Amino acid sequence: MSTKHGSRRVEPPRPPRLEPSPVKDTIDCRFLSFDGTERVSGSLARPDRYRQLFDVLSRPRPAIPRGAGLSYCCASAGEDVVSVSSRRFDRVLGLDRDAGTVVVEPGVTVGALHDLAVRNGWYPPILPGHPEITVGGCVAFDVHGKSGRTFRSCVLALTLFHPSFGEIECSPEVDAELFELTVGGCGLTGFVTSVTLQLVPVAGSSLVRRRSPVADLSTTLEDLLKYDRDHDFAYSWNDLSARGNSFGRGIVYLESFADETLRASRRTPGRGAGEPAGRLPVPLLGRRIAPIANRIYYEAERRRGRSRLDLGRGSFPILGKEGYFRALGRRGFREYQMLVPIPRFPTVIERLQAAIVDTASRPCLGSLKILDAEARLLRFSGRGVAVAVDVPAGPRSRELFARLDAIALEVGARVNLSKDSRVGQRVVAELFPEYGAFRSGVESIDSGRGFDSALRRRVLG
Amino acid sequence: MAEGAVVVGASSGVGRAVAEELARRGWSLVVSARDRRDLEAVAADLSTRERAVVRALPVDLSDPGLDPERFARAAAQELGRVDLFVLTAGVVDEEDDGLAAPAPTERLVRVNYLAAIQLLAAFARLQREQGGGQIVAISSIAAAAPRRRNAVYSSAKAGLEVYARGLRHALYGTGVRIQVYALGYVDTRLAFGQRLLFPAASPEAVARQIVGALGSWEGVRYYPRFWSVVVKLFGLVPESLRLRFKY
Repeated sequence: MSTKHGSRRVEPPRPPRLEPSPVKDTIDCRFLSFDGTERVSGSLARPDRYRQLFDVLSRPRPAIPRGAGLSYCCASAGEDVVSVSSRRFDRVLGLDRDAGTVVVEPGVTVGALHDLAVRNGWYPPILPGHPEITVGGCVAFDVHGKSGRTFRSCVLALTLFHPSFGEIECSPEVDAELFELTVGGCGLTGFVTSVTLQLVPVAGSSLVRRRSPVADLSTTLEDLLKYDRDHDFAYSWNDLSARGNSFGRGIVYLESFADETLRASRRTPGRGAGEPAGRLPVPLLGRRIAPIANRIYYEAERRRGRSRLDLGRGSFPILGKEGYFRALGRRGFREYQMLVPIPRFPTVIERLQAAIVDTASRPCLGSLKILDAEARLLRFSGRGVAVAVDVPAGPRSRELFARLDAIALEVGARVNLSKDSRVGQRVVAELFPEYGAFRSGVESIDSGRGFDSALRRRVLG
Repeated sequence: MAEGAVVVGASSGVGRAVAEELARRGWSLVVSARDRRDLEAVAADLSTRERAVVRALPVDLSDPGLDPERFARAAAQELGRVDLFVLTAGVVDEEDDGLAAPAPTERLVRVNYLAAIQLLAAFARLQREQGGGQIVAISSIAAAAPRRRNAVYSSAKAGLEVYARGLRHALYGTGVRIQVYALGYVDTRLAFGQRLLFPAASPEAVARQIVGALGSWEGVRYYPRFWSVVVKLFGLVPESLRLRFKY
């Protein structure tokens, strides 16, 4: 309380302070999901030392770890939640050059990890699409990228901090349940403070990329199954905006390590790719233009044949393609990614085509990839074909994605939670057999709900 | 043999960025700060990524028992020779309005001024004995533009600058060179979440400047350079007018 005497304000005496007041360490913030469709108001903390990190995480207000903020949904933010940035915890804590094991803090980007590994004759076996993504983010969503396996396969151990139990180490051998819940645990089990990874020997100094045109989705799958074992990476781009017999035509990309040293290409910075300011006010890849753009891309790629890429660029397929996301406009886009058991794929092709035609949607991107990783908890893992569909956000996308939910339920597919900003609790509970185990596991670790996010509220309730 | 540098305040912000830049350029390092765990993480990072020789030597500038001479000797023992001493450590107080009780005031003065000049003096003596060296200290635009939220901090930084000018005079002809950077906004913990008039420089940009310009000039300089103009313009505003604004 203060009293006023004329224009001068007289403050009441304050009790003496023994320590200086720390500078403000959280700020109010509006967060936007990478797909541009989900907005939440929360706070952001950016600690730069462990003392400050543990202090922020130990406060009563719920928190959630935040890496690069490139999840397609608000996984690292929530209403009235403090998003605790890991970006200043980006130090490499150790590297065994003989055994190929590396210990890193969660804010180390996969681009930095890649560079360190390659310089020392190793390679991170699982890399997501963009180098700005953090290792912490890869753990939180057990990402797969171009590889047929998921990040879990290269994680040897984790150190995790939760205010209720402090900092503990877990691995497949020690505290295995906590470890399994944390990998793919969407950041809900605590703040990962270090990750021990197993690298693999680098098999070449560049990548050869071969392009094989395919007529439709079933031929794409045949090619992927045929060539997957003979190449280091295999995935496809498919035109899902084409009508009739052209539906699903595309390019299968087959990549192998090669020993030709190329001049390293300049990296395009990924910063700003997810920010609305960098996106066009009107979508350039709307339903009228997407089919034309897809056709041009198909024809151009079909003629290119083979190309060689330096590892820095070739390892990250989205690097340098940030313009694609900007072209989708400020209204954003939505992605649906489902992991379909291979025998059910013909049904999916049929239903998918019907859903796209019925809803008059013109997807701007389609892609296939074979995955072979143990299906656990809420991870996007299992044996099957991962099908990705991108459409500009809007009423048609909602209608289309409701149909895709029905398809996923019909064929027993899993959805990728990190790519989906709208899938609801009912659908997730039905799609994932271990949904109950994940939910009760998280609740037993985090009984006081110290870790929370928009994703947790939407999917776990 | 690689040149040796001591960076105090190396666990985060500008200090960490300077340590990284030096390690990248092949310097051997002693990194120092209060937070031992962060310091060890920085040392591990630099020795792994840059294959630099890095030792962590914790030091707490707020400790009244700090022995700067002993610290300087310990650092010199690790490196053999201290070619460069960089002091970036500093502390601010959210309620630094000049009316605070003795304890917080003393801490602000101790970290930003007293311990700082004692360390500068210890390393200056060491480098004079060595027959030369370089010293870099970090000040702030606050030293020239004090305000109601940094009364003690700005006076401590002004004291540091004045001390550095005196020290430079004392070191003239000894081969020890001293540079003081009065930094504008930098994107560190101190500037986080603040509404700023100008964009904040990245710690990495500041570090590139500091390491790139080692020994090329002496005295006190603003960085980014436009701050010298801003500070001059600020000085032109009559104090009677300035006092009316809350900034």
